[in-house]
Amino acid sequence: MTIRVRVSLYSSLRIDRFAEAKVELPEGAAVTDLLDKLQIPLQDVGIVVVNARSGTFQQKLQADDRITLIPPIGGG
Amino acid sequence: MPFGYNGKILHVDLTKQEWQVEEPGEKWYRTYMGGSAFASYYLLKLLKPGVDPLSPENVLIFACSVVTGAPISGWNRYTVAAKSPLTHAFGESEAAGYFGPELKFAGFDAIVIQGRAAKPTYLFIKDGEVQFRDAKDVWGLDNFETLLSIQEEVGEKRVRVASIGPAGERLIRFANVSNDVEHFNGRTGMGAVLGSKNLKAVAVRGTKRMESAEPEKVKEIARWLHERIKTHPPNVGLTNFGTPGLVKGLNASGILPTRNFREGVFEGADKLNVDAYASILHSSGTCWGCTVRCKRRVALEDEKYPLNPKWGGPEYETIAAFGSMIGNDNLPAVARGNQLCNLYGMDTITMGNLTAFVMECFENEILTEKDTGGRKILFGDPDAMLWLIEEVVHRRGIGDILAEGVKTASEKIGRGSEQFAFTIKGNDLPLHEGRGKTGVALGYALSSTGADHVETPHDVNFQGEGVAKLYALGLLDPVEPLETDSAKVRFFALGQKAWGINNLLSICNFTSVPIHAMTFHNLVEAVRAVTGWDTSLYEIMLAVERSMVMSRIFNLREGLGPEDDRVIRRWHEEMPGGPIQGKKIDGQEFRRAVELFYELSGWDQRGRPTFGKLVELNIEWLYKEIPA
Repeated sequence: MTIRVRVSLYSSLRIDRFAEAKVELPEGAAVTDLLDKLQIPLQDVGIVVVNARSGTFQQKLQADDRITLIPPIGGG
Repeated sequence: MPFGYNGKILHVDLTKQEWQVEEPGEKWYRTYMGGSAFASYYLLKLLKPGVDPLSPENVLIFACSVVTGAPISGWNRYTVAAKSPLTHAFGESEAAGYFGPELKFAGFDAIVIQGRAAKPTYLFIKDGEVQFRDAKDVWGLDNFETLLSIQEEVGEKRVRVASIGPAGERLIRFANVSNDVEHFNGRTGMGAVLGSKNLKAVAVRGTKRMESAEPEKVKEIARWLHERIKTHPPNVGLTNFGTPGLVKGLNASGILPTRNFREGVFEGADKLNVDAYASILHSSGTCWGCTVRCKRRVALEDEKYPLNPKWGGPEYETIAAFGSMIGNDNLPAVARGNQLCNLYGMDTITMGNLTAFVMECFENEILTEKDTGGRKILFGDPDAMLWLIEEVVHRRGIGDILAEGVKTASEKIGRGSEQFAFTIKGNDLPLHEGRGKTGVALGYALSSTGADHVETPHDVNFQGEGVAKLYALGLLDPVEPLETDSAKVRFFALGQKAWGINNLLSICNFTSVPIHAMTFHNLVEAVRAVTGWDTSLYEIMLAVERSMVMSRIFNLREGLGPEDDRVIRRWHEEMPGGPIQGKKIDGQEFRRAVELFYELSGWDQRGRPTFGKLVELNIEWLYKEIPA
C-alpha cells in the first residue's frame, strides 16, 4: 500500500527538484522517508510543517498530508 | 519576596568607588521586565543627550530579566547597553553563556555603572557584596589571560567574568565584551565603553539559585522543552550542525553576502560550510542550562592558523564575515581571525565589514600600498584579513583610522571611499542579504541599534505554510521574502514584537518563539510559573513595544530622524547573479513601507511616537524627551 502526500519546497530546496508536487510513499512513511525519496540531506532542512503545524523528522505521514520544507536560511 | 528575580538593581559609581542598591518594586519590574527595557529606562533617566560615549558621563548597564536563571533551556542571556561609541546612538548587545544567571545568583538583576575609575579596576560581585579591585595586573592582557588571572586572584574557579581585551582598553569603537572567551556582547562597541571607564571586567559569583513561584510547573515545562528540542527540526539542525549549517542554504538561495554585499553567491562556499567545518571541529559547547548545544569549539595544530579549543569557534556570522564577505574560502584562517578577535575583544561582524571595505577600496585604487605601508589588501587573501586585525588592535598606521569603524574611517579616508562603506545608523551589517529577505531589511532600517539581524525573525522561514509558526499572532498569510508591500510591513511589525520577547526577557532565540522549540503558549505559562504573575502574551508584547519605543526616543533625543531609517545603497541596485539575479529593493517602495510602519505603530510622519502611543504604553513621562 502507498499513500500520496503534497509537498511544497522553498528556496534552494527547489533547485533541480520542484516547487510543489504530489509524492508517493509507502504507508507508514515518516518525514525522513520523504527526505530520502527526494534525496534531501537532513542538514539541508530547517523548517518542517505538516498540515499547517510544526512537524518533526520522525513524524508519520498520512494520505493527503501537506508537507512544507524550508532550508535553514534564517539567522540569529 | 519576588519570584524569579531579586528585586535589586546595583548602582556603581566608579569615580567615587561607591555602590548602592535600589529596590524598585514589583510594578517597575512588571512594567519593564528586563534586558533592553531596563537599559533604556536608565539611559533615558541618567544620560543627557549629546554626551560623548567615551566620556565618564556615559552610563553602562548590564541587565538580565525577571526570568533569567530560571532552569529552562535558553533562559540565560543578558544585555550590555550604553550610548554607543560606534553609532553615537542607542547601543546594546546581548550574549548568552553563564554570566547572566550568575549575576542573578549573586543577588542583582542589573548593574548600572557611572563615572570613570581613576585607575584600571575590575568589579568583583559575590552574594550581594561588591569589591572594587585593582586591575593593574590584568590591564593589557587578552580575554583568556584575564579570565584565568581573575579566577585565580579571587580564588573562585566558578566565577564568571565579563571582560574586555586590549581592543576595549584602546577604545576601539567596535570592541566587545567577552564572557568565558566563548560568548560575546559583540555589537555597538560596548567594550570601548568599559575601556573608557577604566573598567577591565565585571566578575560575578553567586551561591544561591532563583526561586520560582511554581517550581513544579517550571520543571514540567523545562522537561517538555528538553524533549521537544530533540525532535523540533530547527533545533535538531542547531544541535547537529550549529550555526555553520546556515552557509549552504544561504549560498544555494543566492543570499550569502559576498565581497562587501556585492554578490549573493560565493564560489568557495563549499569550503566554508558544515561539512568543511568537520576538519577543524573539536567539540560542541553550550550555555547555562541549555540542551541545544549549538556552540562549536575548534582545534588545529598548524603553524600558520593554529586553533585553540578554549578560544571559541566561529559562528555563522563570523564565517560569512571573514569568509564570503572578503572572498576567502580558507576556513582555518576564518577560525584564526575569529580567535584573534576573541582574545583582543573585537566584534567579528564589524571587523569583517571593515576588511571587505578596505578590499573594495583597494580594488578601485582608492586605497593603495601607500596607505598600508606596502601591504596589498585584496579580496580572497585571508592573510590580509589577519594582518588588518593586528593593525587595528595595535592602532598602527591605517589600523588607527579603521579602529573608528567603517563609517568614520571612510569619512576620514574620503576620496570616494564612502561609496563602499555600508552601515546603517553607523552600525556595520550582520551577514544577511536584504534583497532576499526584505523583512530583515526593514529590521536593519528600523532597529534602534542600526543594522541588527535579531530585530525580526527572518521572513524566509515563513514562506508557504511556514507561516503556521505565526498563527498564534493572527498572521495567517504566507510571507513573500522578496516583497516590500503592506503584508510585509504587517509581518514585520508583529514579528518584531514576537522575536523581541526573547531580547526583552533575555531568552535565546535558538530555543524560543517563533521558530525554535518553545511555543507562545508555553512561554507565557513559564513566565507565569516563574514570576507568579497572572500575565499574558498581550502584556509581554506590550512590554516589548514599550522597550522599542523607549530606545527610539533615546535616538530621537540624540538627533536621529526618519532619514536614518534606511538600508544601504547596494540593496537598491540589482543583484548581479545567482538565484535572485536582478532583484533590488525599490527605494520609493521601501520608504513607503517604513512610513506605513510608522503609521501602524502610532508614530508621526517623522517617526516620532505620538502622545497617544506613550499613553497606551504607560510611558507618557517620556513625552517631554521627544524633540519638537
